[in-house]
Amino acid sequence: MTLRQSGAIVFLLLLFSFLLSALHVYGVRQEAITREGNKLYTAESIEVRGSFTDISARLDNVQDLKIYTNLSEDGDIRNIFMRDSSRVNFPLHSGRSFIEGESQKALVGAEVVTTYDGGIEYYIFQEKRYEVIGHLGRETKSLLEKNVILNDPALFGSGADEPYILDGSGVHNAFVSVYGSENVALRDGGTNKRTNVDLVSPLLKGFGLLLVVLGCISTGLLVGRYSAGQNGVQHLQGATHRAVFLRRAGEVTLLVAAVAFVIVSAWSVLFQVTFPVGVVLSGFCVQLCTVLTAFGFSFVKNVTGA
Amino acid sequence: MGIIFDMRKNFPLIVAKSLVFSLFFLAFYNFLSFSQETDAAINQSFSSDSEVNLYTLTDTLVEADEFSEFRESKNELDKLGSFYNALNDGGQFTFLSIFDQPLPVKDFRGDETYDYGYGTEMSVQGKYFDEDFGAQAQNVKSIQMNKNAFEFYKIRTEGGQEIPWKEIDYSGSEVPILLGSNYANLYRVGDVIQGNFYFKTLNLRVAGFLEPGSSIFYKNEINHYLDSYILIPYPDTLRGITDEEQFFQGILSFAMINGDLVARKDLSSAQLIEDLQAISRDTGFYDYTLIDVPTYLVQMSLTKSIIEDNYTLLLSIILAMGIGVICVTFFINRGILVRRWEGGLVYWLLGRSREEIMREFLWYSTIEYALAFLIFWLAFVALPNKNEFILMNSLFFMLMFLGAIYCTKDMCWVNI
Repeated sequence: MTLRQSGAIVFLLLLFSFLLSALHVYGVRQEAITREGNKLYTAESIEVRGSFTDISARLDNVQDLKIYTNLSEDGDIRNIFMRDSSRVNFPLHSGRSFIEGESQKALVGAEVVTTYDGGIEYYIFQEKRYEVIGHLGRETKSLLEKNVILNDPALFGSGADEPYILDGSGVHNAFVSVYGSENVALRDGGTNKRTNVDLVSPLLKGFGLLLVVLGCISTGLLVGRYSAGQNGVQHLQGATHRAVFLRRAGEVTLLVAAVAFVIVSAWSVLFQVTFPVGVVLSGFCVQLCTVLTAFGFSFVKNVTGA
Repeated sequence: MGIIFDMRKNFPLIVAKSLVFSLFFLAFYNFLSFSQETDAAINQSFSSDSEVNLYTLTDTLVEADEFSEFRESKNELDKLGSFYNALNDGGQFTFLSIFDQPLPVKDFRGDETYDYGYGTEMSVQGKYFDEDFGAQAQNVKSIQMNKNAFEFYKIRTEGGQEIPWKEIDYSGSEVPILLGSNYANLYRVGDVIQGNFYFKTLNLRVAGFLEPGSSIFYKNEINHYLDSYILIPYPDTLRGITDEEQFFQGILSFAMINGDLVARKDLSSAQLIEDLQAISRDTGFYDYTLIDVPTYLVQMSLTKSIIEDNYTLLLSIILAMGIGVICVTFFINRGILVRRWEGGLVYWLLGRSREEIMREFLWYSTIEYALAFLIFWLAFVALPNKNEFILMNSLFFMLMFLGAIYCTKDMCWVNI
């Protein structure tokens, strides 16, 4: 591979890693906007009537199930139950969200009255103190500025039927299949309903991902073409095809890893955006697998002369 | 022959290029469709004439005795009627009279999602046997509003039908109503629905359907959508109370004076109260109170910024995709060019002129773009948000974009 050819490969890898990371950032911000415009709910949320203990036990196939109960008439103060707190993406402008195994904490908007004790912020509800761990809203001024989310299992009623709001992927179908279609209502959309963003946004994300995949395939094929000469020479020098392939694949892996590192650092330095480890890993794997598959295809084609 | 040979030789690259283009244009089409809806949403509910102060007017006859005593006095009700008429004529403010309630509808065609209790903390009642109708009925979500409210929230009908506000008269044989967009499959324009409106059976004639997503600010909520509501227009003026209809007109008058006052932002609340007091002096009705509703302006500006932020976000992702597409195209084009170069050389050696070879190669490129359009078209047909106007816009943009690339490629050949 000439320097120019390697440069081209690096450029393409950078480009598609950037696009992939940008799509992720887009998804996160989109969700924050959606939730902020819809009282923290997603478009899948439903209003139901039932018993808390029964619902939380029987909807066990909704992995990201969230159950909310209103603690104030206007619905500004709510209590939450989460099946998996790592899947809670609330828009916050400071602090953090709930973590696994944590309770008696609160997320509050900027306008909510809180007290400080020993440098720790507390929200007081019914004479009970809840430590404030995060502040709701993408910015201080937001539609969530008067909202309070508590995480206190004790505030959920016992077995009696009460109104709850459920959220989570596929929660409507899950609820209907367990309890039937009585006592459940779809919520009538938030701000997103004013435009067709709920339709357009997943399409844009899908097209973007396809572009990335297509780009990675092209990059892999290009690696195959550019390295064909070198591969042939190394094979003539006595290396097996397998060894040559593994050597190239190793180089590509290192390159993709380095590119991923550069992109992740660039986001954090330039835009203060950090990615969860799982996201970086899965992005890396998707890119690497596609590039390697395409390269492997081209390699085999060159070797067999097909 | 040349084209077929080229297609066979460069098939993967040609397909890749067409796919990249068609994907990007599908994304671009969707972006345009979104930006058009954003514009429409901003113009409808968040334009500068919606930036006003809102106050709620409610009557203070809360005691049941007081209320029924008032309603039994024809004289008092007449005062109330003229108070409403004066409010509606407005001064420095606009009076939006809005009220929602369950409307029992005879032989209702819809399901429980139209029930008054659906989606609220109240329970859904469903179909029941109604004594007054002597038939099956359902309590349906319904909202009444006056012309001011209708115009302030820029509510429009799907077919452009208008409400004859001057002719609204509940003692007439029929009252024109509008149905929310969810009703489109249940009723047709011209159908007559029998409803029990404040204990009086009315023949409600469907005059049109609201645009999907029609919304008003109601009960402290800016995203109050009317898609499953029956909208009953209020009469322009309250006429004198008649003996036989006193019961009905009494309830109606009270419902109608509960509403919101809209005032310009520079009008102080003191001035507004002064205006109201003048109306009270003229009409003799004093039993009301005015509550400032700052939530409206806050919700309205923050909701607007959410819509605008969403637009910026989509714009930035489409730009990132555009840059990506241009870079990929550059590489694919080079790849194709290199592979075609040898063929061109052979033609050259065979004695073909430069122009002839160029023309031949331009045909090859045309195939690539035609394929891109074909893929775009096939996917477009499957899209739910088809719109000819946006399609024309995006096609125009595509032609510009592709034309630019086409020309640069042409230039490449001249250089070679």
